[in-house]
Amino acid sequence: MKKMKCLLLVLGLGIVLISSLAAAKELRVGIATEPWDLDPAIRTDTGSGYLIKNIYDPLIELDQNNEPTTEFALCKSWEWKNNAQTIVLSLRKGVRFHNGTDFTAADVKYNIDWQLDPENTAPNKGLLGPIKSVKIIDDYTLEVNFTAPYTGALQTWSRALDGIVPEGAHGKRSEEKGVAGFAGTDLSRSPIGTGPFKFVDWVSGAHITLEKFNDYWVKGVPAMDKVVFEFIKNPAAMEAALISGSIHIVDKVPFRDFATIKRMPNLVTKRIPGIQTQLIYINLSAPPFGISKDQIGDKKAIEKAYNLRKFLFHAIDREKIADKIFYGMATIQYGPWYADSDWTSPKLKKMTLHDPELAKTYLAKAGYPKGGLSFRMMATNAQWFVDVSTVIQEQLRPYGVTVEVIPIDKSAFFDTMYETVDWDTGMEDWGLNNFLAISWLYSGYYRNNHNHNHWHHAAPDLKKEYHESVPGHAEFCAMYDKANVEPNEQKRKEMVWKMEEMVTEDVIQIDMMFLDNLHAWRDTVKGYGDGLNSQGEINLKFITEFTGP
Amino acid sequence: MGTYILKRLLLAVPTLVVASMVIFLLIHIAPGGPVRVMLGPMQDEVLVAKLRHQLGLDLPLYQQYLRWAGKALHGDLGISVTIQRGASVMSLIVQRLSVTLEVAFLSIVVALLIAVSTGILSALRQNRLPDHIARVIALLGVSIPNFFLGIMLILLFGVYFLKPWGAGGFVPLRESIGGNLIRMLLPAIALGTAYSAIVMRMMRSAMLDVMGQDYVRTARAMGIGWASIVRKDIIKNALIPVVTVMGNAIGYLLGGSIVTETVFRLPGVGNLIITGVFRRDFPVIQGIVLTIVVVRIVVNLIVDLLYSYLDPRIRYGRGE
Amino acid sequence: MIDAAMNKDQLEETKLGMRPHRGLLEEFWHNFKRNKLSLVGGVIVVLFFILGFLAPLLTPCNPVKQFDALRGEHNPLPPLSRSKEGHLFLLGSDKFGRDILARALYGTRTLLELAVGAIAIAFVLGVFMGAVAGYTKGSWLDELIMRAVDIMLSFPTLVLAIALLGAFGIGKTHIGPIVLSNMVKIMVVIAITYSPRFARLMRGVVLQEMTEDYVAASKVAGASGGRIITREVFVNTMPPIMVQASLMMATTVLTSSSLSFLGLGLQPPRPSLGIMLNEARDFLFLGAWWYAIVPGVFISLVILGFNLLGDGLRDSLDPRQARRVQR
Repeated sequence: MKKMKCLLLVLGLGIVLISSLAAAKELRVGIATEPWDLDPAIRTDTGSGYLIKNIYDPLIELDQNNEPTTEFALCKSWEWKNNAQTIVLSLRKGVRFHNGTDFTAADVKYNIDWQLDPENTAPNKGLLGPIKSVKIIDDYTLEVNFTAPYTGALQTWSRALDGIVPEGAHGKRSEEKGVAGFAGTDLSRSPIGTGPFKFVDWVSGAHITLEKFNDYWVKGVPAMDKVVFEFIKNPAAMEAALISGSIHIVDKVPFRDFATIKRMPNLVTKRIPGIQTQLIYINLSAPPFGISKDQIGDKKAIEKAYNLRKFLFHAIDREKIADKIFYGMATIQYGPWYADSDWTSPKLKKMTLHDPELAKTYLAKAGYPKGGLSFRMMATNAQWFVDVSTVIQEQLRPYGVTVEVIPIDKSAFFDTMYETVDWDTGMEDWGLNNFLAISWLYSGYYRNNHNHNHWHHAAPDLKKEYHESVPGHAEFCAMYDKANVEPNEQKRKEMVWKMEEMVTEDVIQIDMMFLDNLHAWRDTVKGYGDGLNSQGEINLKFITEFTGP
Repeated sequence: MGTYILKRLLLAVPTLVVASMVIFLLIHIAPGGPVRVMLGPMQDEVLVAKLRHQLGLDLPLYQQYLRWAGKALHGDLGISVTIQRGASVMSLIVQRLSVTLEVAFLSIVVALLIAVSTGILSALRQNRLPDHIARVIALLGVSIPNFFLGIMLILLFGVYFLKPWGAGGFVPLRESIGGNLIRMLLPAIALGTAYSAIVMRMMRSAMLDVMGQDYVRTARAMGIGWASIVRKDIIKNALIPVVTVMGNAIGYLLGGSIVTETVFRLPGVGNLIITGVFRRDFPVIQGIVLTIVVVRIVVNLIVDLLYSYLDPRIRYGRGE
Repeated sequence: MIDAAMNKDQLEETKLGMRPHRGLLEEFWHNFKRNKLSLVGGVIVVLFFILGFLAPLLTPCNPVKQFDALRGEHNPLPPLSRSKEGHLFLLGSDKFGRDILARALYGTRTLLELAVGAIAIAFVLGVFMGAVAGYTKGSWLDELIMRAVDIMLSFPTLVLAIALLGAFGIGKTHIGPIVLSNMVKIMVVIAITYSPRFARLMRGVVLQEMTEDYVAASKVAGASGGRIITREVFVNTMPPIMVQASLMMATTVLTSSSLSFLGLGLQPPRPSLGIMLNEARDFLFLGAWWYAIVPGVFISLVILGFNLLGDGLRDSLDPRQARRVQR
């Protein structure tokens, strides 16, 4: 009888021990925004990106210098052929999807074809490049042919193909509810990937739970059994949770609290220059910063709009904004690209940005020597956008210029920007995760329709709801077309410089600064810092050990 | 009594119908529809037209209303357009309604506990110190906005005392009952205080009224102690006006919970409607307003019936 | 006589006007002057109206001016600190370096403007509807108005206000050629939500007055219906209405500051006490208590003032309510 009791006791203790260990292996990550959609081919928001990073594997990954790498990627190696018009990919063997099926080249082809299909209105279709055909050579070899040389494929694919799904997994877009292009696919709420974590459940407004995928193709990953992504909108609550230990990783630390968090015991912080550019979109198809339909060709109106844009450019004190709002943890831009990159025009690097005297001169030239100008700035009512706009509003007041700040929801922001010309300026940010200067110039300025700044030129393809705006767009597009197919890198670089100068000196858009990514996590999570890159992603694959509860 | 109940029920139905029409129209008066959702930089005009058609926004107004109302009766409040693409509004509400109701219920509990006890105490010790203190606190309770009270509570417990539950946040019941309840403490106090102050004053004045009645004086003259009188007649009669205030309470609490949920970051319907307003998710806004109105009408009905039960004048019919 | 179809609201409210005879007004003023509570309330209210009205004179600086912090420091700064330019922040600064005292003064101004405007509109709307309903008691007009009032009252006030603001959007609204500023929009929204209460009360009180002898006497004397209402009845219905208006001011201030706290009120950079409280939340853990306490105290005192005033008015109106019970 005694032996029995002893055995039971040991068993009981064992169970308690094991279950406490099991409980201890649950990692909790705090993210500020609830994801919209877990289908990598249709998601566009950052929140979803955090989950997709860990549920799926990408075809190709980028390392900390934003160079293509095969670490944690499904592609083993690649070979360019045919003057960068063909790329042959060698894929990994022995990789399984969460549903048990094997990963093969057919899956990759499905992923690419599905996005290319216009019926599916995939938002990242443009990032795939000018694909002519996708051929399966064998189960683990894929050949992709482009209609023109596309050397940036691996960089842009790191975003476009950041989650490989099994063949057929997208299923049908739900037709009866919602709309094609907005409605989810089968994957939206039930993702299936090859990543280290399997999807368990999603409680709206609360959290998403993932669990360890035992068949993951990298041994030792993941280091925990369960991960819970909690949605904590308010930064203060997020910090409180991190400090008390109920959250182990946060997606970002508010700028104002970084210094305090850094000093705290049991917490590790890391600050990495990021890819989020803070910019001011300018409506070039309506006064005051652009011209209206009946002002097409009106030299005086064009001149006035130009002067007002130059005023705006030189009146804004970017350093002050970086200091006030971002506590100095930002990198000022001298043009669209990174200031320290050799893809940024040397001429622009020497530019003077904030110049009150120059600003006053332009304002006077535009016909407002004593002020009296008034315009609107819409700003997404999340994070710091309204704050930045408020600082700008106050910076322009001494010139006699009145800015009306309009806080607006993000989707309504883009609504207004694309659908109407009833706006003047907009303050937002953009994550440059396509990593090529020329790519950003494309996304930001190229299209003659659906252009951020309504910068259009007269052309047969211009839709009737838009009209020709301030000059230069046609030249810009022509320059881009040439640069895009230019094989010589130095020549291409110089063309990129010219394009940057064009959009900056004409103030088509104002790109102010890149923000640093501020990360913080508990010291019981080891190795997490190695996976952090400029994109601010939460990559749990790099965690080597989790000793928490 | 039977006719009274019937009459009240019948009255509730057209109220509900017209209220639903108002809710429906509300969203459609203003320009700028829920048409565009962010697709990133690539948007398409064909898609916009498709969306309009599929959401039924190109139909005449009355048809849209009938469609909407019909679906609502089946529990289908539409699909969220921007908050969670493709999620049914009903499911979003159901996930969160329990949180809001929990806060509201706990607020009532906290409020009644404080109010009834201090109300009785105040009446019994009328014009003495406890009475004055209670009345001052009641006045403050009604005057301090619940969001300011909430913030002060956070300052006290979250910042000064560094309690992890003092900064807001929510732990589901199934995860931890203790964790859930402790985080409800501050929101319940913040939300319940104003209501508690109102009830306390009602209780006090109702009790004073009853205490001044002849039959009570007679009992006192006969030497019956306060204790037994207070327990039976006084409290029961004094509760009548308290019950009547309850009906309004639900309205106040549902509205007030919107603010409380924002302050303490609770995932309730209050928080959701605010998100809905900022994200222009009209189906969500409509769904939540409808839910709140339905809850309120139902509660009012129950309270009216309860009141009629308590008030003998109505219970035994009018003019008989 | 108690109409069983009336509910608890109306019961409570008609109790107020239960002593109808001429001289009500005189009695009312007599009681009011004696009542300590209402005096205190009145003083507070008047004080804040003065603060708001004289804000441009009393303010230490422009409320939207953003000062820079000294090197090594960062806004928000505590009370009695100085900015880089040497400006003294009497009650501290906000996250942009704006003077909190200045903003609180202007915030009070806008708050009171909003509340007075909203109540005025609600008063006019509600009293008119209620008077019409009361005078035409029993008719289809009466029924229609009261049903509409019922329906409006089935919406909790804050919810209705939020839904209306959600529909019209935040910021200026354009209805054809008319541009409604945000302030006007909020005023109208709040007025719409509160007018039913006025309507209901007015109707009840009018009905009560109509049963008075002097009304019957007037009718016999041949005075026309309109004159009955406008002269005697109207004057005598005013006291309970005024009490209600004062109490409503308190709730209106609460509702409008709640709306701006939620971000649905006035837009930046207009100073608003509710928005200041909202902004303060992010800085609580950095120890910026003044950011929340100053606007919160301002709002609470204003509401307190109106509550005291309203309570006092109600007590003066019907001394029976304030009657002391002998033990």
